[in-house]
Amino acid sequence: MISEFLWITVPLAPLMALLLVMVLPASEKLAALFLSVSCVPALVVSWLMVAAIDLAMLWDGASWGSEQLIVRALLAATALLWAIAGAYAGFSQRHDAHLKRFCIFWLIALSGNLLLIIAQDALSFYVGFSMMSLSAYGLVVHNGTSSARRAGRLYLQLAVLGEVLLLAGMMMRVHAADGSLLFAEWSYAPLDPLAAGLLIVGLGLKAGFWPLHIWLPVAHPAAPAPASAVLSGAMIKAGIFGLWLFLPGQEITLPADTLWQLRDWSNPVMTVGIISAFFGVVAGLTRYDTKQVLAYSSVSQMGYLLFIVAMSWQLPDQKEALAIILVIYAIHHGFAKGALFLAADLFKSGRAGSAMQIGAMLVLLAIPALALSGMVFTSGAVAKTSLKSLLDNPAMSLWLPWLQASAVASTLILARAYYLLVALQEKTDKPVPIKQLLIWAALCVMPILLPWLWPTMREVLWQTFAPYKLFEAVWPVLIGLSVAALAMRWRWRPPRIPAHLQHPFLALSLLLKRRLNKALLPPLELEFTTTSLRTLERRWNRYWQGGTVNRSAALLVLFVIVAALVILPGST
Amino acid sequence: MTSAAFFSYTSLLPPLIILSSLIPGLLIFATPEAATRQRVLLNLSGIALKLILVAFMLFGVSQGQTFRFELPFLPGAPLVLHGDSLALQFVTLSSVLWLATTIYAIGYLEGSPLRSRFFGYFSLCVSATVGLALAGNLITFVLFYELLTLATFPLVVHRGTPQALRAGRVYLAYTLGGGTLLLMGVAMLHSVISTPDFIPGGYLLALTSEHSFVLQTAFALMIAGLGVKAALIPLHSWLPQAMVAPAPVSALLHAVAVVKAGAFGIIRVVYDVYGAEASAVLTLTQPLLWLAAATIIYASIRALQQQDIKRRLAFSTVSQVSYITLGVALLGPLAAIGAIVHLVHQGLMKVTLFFCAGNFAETLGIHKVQEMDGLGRRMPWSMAAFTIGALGMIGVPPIAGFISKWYLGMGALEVGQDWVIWILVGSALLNAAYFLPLIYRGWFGKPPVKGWPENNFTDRRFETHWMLLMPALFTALLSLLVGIFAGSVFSPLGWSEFIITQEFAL
Repeated sequence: MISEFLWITVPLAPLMALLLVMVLPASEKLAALFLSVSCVPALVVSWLMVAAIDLAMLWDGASWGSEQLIVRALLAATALLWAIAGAYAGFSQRHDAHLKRFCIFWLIALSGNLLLIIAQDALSFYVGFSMMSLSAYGLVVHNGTSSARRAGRLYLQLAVLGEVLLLAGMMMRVHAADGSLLFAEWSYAPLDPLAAGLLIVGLGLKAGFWPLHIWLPVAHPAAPAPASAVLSGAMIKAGIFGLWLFLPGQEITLPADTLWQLRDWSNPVMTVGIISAFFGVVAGLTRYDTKQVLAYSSVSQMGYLLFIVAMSWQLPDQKEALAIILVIYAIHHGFAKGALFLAADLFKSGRAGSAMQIGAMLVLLAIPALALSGMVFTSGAVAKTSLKSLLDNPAMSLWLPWLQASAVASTLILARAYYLLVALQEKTDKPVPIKQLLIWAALCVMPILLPWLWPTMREVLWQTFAPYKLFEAVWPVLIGLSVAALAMRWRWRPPRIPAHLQHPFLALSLLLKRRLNKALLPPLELEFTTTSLRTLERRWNRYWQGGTVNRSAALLVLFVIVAALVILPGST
Repeated sequence: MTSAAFFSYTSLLPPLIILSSLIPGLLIFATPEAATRQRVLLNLSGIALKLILVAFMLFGVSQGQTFRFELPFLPGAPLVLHGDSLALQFVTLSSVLWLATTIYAIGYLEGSPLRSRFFGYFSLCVSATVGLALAGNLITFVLFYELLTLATFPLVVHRGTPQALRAGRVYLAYTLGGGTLLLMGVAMLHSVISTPDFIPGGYLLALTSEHSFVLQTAFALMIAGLGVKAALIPLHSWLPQAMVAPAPVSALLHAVAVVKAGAFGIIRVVYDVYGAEASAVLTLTQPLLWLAAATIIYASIRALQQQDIKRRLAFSTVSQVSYITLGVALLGPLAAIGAIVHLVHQGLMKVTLFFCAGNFAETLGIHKVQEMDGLGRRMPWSMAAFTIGALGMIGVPPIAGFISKWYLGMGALEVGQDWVIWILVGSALLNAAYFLPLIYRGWFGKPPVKGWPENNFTDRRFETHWMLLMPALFTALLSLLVGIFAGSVFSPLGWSEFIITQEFAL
């Protein structure tokens, strides 16, 4: 029997590390240590089976932790990604004058991210979500360049907006559930379209699917690479995870006169997911900045995750299976995208020296890229196969071609990302930093290791070895790669989009800020202009010529009598 | 009342709590200017005594004891001090913040002239606040309400500059005018039913059908009178002007004494004089609700335009105090919890912000928002406290402000006034718009190349005088703790729920 108090250490460990960071002098070795060690409690707890802890001293219904597989898996993967990225950050930021500030924001965001995963009640989730969302701002603007500041402004405006919309939707949801904060009790609570809309927009602004993605391709390139890795790998998943928790499909059969139910939105939202999957690819292919391409690839991948969430509204009886697929997909994308973002820093910071080093780096880089395209033997194949198995349902079969087409598209954008990443090597002559290379390599092999480490994924992996499944997984990748090869052969270049057209919302964000600084409302103040009163008084005095006091007294008496006549009849 | 009962400890405790700051205050007036040590001793012993007495009373009330003191005063209107749970919420807040503010003021005014006068009035001000909190009926309330006006005026004009004197005149014109309106409203009610004690659920329900006009007029007059101190629009403009006062006074005015006296009065009038039921029957609170909502939004927008830190904070106060009025006017138990707990939460957060603003001004001569660039590097602790206070005001969990906002929102949904959610959403966005730039400048801005406008206290162990820093850290920590441990019995939230079970007879 393991004490459930272990759950408290999960979000608390990063905060303890935070105190140490603030007190101790800045040092890059310690930073790497603190950033990665503070994830250890989360890893330990997710390994063990620990019952949830009830924290009524915080608020009624506060409850952390769960024995559910999806929570534990997501917690373990998130913590592992943060730990690896944290170790990398400790080294990649070692010459940073603001290392301390970076660590502080990092640790708060980490604590929030872990808390929202283990939260069993809406308030705990919201606390974690805000901690993560707001302190990620510190990571986005960390470099202090003007583009980082612009990106940060847009990020913060949308993060705050998303947060208050989420709060409003959450209040309505809790009210509809008779004040219960526990997610477990929400599937029977009535839901109205306003609350659902608020939640989808509020959480969607974090998840970054089209059309709520606007901050994502701006913020990722601005942030330091390890921060982009956790931002894309872990933090945006919080939006999807939140949607899953806040909007469980209604399992009960509702009364016939129900005007609206969540199921009605399932198909539109699934369409948004598919549009997002394609939009991310199309927009990403036209970009020349590596991290922007990777960010658009995230927009595309978040489309799939949204698709799975919306599918669960239509298939409430398959919720368990869908939850596992969602988590598999989220974890798979988290590791692979994290590895690619770290590569964007690693490939720029040092050039491979020997032929062996070059080969190793190219092969390692290919793993996450192929995994995201859905290649066999990787977590990507597992994720895509398990998703397809659910589309066998006749009601869902019309989506299948779209998913296959988007798998081809994914391959294209990842081929472009791969090309741009390798090209980064040209820009440097320094030797590759070995420690960072090793840390990165650990992340790169995750897409291959993961299906073997996790039994749930291993079962699906075995299925993918069947010949027709192999073919199913390989052909989109092959088509994508051949198109990419042809493009290379013919030296096809995407059109260059002028910078101001790439991100029109940056301009809007600046406009909003400027507008807010201007006077929006006139002062509404009662001015006591004593001078004008004084002239009135003089006039009054002159008017009565000496008898002023008597006349004033008479007026007062008259006023009192009138007042008494008004008041007294009422009182008798 | 027999003499034995008169001298029992339950009846003597309320006046003793008032006297514990009144007597040191009067003695301080008599101390010579140079006798710093004596003055500090008087101040601190008064605070210590008051805190002990308040702790006694808190324990007693939680055990179900009643503390009541009565003196004959007017026919049908005795002078009553009554320590009920609602009064204690305010008394405890005042006493704790008085401790922080006194320490702060001692550090702030070190070496400046006229300190005996300042601390004398300072103690009187707290006595009046505590008296107002303990007032057991409307007449007693009015008495202390006016005393508070008179005791704070010398503090507002303390610096004696033309600007301060002008602010003082405006302050006096507004508050005395408000006091008159309040008195008229109280007199009207007195003519109908004399002045019984405050009682949960009110004492006017039986009169609603017969005297509805008088009751409505009296309500409007009293709310207008209280609305001056609670800074409801359009009666708020004395507050930003009173910013010229020294920082500890601004902190006291904004967090505890004056604005809270108005808000507390509104709570008393709505819940303990009219009662939720009678207010609903007479449809008194709907206009008040609109007014509070308008104030919240209007003042937040005005705060955006202020470039002076203290003025920005002042408009923020106007907006935040109206949360209390909003919660009261919603007339539901959850909203009432939100209102009553915000009385404390807003106090803790706003006092933190003013302490920090004062620290910036005293240490580096920073008064404007634009000058805050890079403050976090020179004064990390003050800036951290400021950040906690500001984020709390926005409503970021787990800081105290979030708890109030949550209860107000849930309370609005509970009584079917869903639109109030949008007021809260708008206010949170506006709060973010006027607080986040300050935090950004503090932590991410680059310190001025030419150096700070001033640079004091560089030889100290801390970034500033310890007496300026510690109170700010103390209140920042408190606003964090009462938010995190809101669910425990001893939190302001727990106590507010205790109050509401009595008010709404749940």
